[in-house]
Amino acid sequence: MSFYGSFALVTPAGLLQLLCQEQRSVVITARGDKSQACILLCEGLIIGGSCDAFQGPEAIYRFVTWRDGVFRVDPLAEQPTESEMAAPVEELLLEAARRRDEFALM
Amino acid sequence: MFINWGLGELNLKIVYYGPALSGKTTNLQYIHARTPPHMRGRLISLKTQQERTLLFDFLQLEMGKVHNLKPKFKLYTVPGQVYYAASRKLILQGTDGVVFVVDSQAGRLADNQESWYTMEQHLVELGHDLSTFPIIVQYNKRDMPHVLSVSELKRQLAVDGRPQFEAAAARGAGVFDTLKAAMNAVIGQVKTAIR
Ligand SMILES: Nc1nc2c(ncn2[C@@H]2O[C@H](COP(=O)(O)OP(=O)(O)OP(=O)(O)O)[C@@H](O)[C@H]2O)c(=O)[nH]1
Ligand SMILES: [Mg+2]
Repeated sequence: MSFYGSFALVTPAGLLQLLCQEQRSVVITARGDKSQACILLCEGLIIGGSCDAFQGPEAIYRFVTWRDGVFRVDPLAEQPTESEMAAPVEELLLEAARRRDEFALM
Repeated sequence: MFINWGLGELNLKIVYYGPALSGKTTNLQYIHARTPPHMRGRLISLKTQQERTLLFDFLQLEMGKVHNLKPKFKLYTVPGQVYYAASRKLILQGTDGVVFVVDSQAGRLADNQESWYTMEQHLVELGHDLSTFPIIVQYNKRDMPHVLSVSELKRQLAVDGRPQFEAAAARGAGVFDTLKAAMNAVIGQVKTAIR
């Protein structure tokens, strides 16, 4: 069973926080204007991500700036034995906000 | 903590916890009365006819900026009466810091201890590390006769290194010192989260 939606109704940041707060283990696949992303969550932590050519935290920083697109959430098939990261969503979002500021200053 | 990316808001939650009638609601009422309207929301109180908190009081405050996000503090109180244990735990969910309001009166020592103990239990169950989680202690009702000395309360509650303030919330003494310490502690935690 999957869960589908549009970023017109919930922001990428809101979606990530909702799923993490519920300690879900899921895969988010998302399609934006010209972009694609895939984010892995395991028991409320972000354990991996890709957004176009970017991987890991960098992928999340890009993904949360999307203004439109659609997503699909599926259960995480199996827990990877090794993950590229294990970060609380708040930490990544705060860093993304800091980068957004610095980018605005340039 | 909840980050509203669209609105650029950082939502932070502080819960006023403590035994029945220790003055939790009184703290929020004073903060509400003394904060300029453009910086705060409405004070929402769910209470019984006897003015006892039924589920919670809620007040929202706005502050400067952190990482270009606008912090909005959501202040909640819990109902202190013993039989509302499930509500207290629910309200503690997702909280970024706690103000523990002590009733300084000598006869209330056991109630303070019981309340402190259950608060720690709930916080641990919610996955917090007590050694780093922000808890501010307020010794309230200092204006009443027959209060225990602060050093005695400190010893009995084993609150060790935490920030502590004396207060008489009914006339506002100590209310904002406590609040500022709680806000600073919570913001401090946010800042360590990204280092
Ligand atoms: N003298 C004195 N009375 C106080 C002080 N703080 C609160 N009170 C009084 O104590 C009573 C209880 O205060 P509340 O703020 O309703 O207590 P509470 O902790 O919210 O109680 P519950 O909602 O039942 O848990 C009220 O009559 C207050 O006016 C204080 O510092 N000094
Ligand atoms: Mg109350």
